[in-house]
Amino acid sequence: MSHLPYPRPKSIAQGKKEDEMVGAFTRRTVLAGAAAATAAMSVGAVDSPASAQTRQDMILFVLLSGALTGIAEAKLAPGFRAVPSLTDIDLEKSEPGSDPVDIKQEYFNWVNKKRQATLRRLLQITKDSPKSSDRSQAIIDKVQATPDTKYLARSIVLMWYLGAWYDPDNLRALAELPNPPAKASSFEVISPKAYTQGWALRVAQAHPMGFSEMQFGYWARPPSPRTDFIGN
Amino acid sequence: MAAETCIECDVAIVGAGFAGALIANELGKARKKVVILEAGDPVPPNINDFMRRFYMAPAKVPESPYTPEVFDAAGNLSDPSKMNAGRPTVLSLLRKGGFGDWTDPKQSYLIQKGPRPFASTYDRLAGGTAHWLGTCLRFVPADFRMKTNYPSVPQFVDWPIGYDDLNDWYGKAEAELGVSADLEEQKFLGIHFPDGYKYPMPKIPRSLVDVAVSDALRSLTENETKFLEMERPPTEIRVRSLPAARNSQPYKNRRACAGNTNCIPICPIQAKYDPTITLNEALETGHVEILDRHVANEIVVDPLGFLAGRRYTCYCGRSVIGSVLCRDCAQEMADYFKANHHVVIRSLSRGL
Repeated sequence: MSHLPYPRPKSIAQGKKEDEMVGAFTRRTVLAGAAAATAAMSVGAVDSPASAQTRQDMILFVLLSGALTGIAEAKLAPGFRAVPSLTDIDLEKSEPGSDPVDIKQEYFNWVNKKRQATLRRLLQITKDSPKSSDRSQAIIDKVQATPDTKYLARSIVLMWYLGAWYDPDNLRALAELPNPPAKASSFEVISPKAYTQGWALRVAQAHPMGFSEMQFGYWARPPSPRTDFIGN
Repeated sequence: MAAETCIECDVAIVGAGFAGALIANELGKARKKVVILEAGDPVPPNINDFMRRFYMAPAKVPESPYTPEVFDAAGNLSDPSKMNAGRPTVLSLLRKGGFGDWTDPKQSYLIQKGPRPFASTYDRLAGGTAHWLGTCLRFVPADFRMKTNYPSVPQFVDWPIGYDDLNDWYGKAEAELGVSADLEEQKFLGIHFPDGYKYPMPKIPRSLVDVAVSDALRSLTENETKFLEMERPPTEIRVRSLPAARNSQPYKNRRACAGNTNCIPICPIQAKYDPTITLNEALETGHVEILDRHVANEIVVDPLGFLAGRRYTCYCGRSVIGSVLCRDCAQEMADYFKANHHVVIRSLSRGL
């Protein structure tokens, strides 16, 4: 699996090509007992991509997600590569990522289905943000300008971290109403795959309960540094 | 199965739990015809459906991966009286909480009248051992002599057997389950092993927390801990690796533990033993049949047939509350066996 949030042993990790990683993933899936992987992947089938989605949309969605979550784009979307141009990122030449898990596509479809118009605005904000070291902060600032974009952005952050969907209207009620209704804190797990790809525990240098990509005995050693997990 | 249908077998087992699975497998290997009556769903060929249910569960509690589903689509507890073979859920322990109310018989599978709820759960197929920690500590010899050792406690009893009677059986169980432990480390408080005995696998390495606690204990002084009245210095307390039915290396075609931190509710790679493994093995002998979704509600013993060792007939049909009836049946059978000078074996089920 090419999106491993922890470093492989140097001798193995270095020089791996993407297709070799795909091979590793397949072997892992086929190995007897890899039920976690098969359950997560086979049930994770999603709706066909919205017709409006372009390659550029996906690049913008990953850039947006990176800015909102604080996690490196290439960790969120393994294989992601932003190609710089004279003024900004060259959206035509950049690579949205090529990992077989492809949770970004599932998330894009999910949000696009739930809040298409607001998602469009978030992508536009991302596109309009200037090329600079503080791109992330610029996106965050602009996103907060309207409640629609602000709370959808929060839903997207929670989605990446928890693999679950918190409706933006509920999040707004929780934040702004003095007595929010009980259902405002409700959520739904997006899919088995989404649960296994949640970042909350990886940021804690661990793994989601029931989905370890580590090896026997890791608990006897200190965890790898957090930067190895989140890339930043 | 209609009540008038009769199945003939050598042995009928009520409940496809830990004990039922092990017994069925041994009998199946000995070419005895075995029928297991199981209130729950069929044994799945793999655990993918359990994993899907676990991953999708909003609250990941011990019973999350398993059936039957006790919550309806709106997230409310279903009326247990409308289910064939329901079960409790730990989520209803939060009285008047978001997940139901254990004092309300329309929501709680167990009818409980005491001040405190039954603070656990149990399951149908594979029983509570579907979601156990894999802990495989042996009893120490003194555990079998509690009345003798502590005569002032009226509740304590002495067992009719002792540690030495079980020593070989512990070994067989440890081999079947696949226990990882260190022999020398486990020799404490009189625990001993047959000559040449080896645990099936080396111990699980100590975690960072284990090591930290161990170090901390060694650094404590008598003065700091005398309030505990332990009568011996805490520096003598040793932190040992728990004997666990969890693979420390590949064993019986199952992988080594990958630290999924999920023994309870479910090991996603079955590096930890659970009874569905033995149930599938038992089915593969070709002599064991599991009648799923069957609740035994009456046991009719045919003394002649049983004593002849050839025929045991049971009837099943209307579903009521399986576990309670199983307990009644166990007593009935115990009485029968006693009257017939047979050895009485009772299962110690956590749920009953």
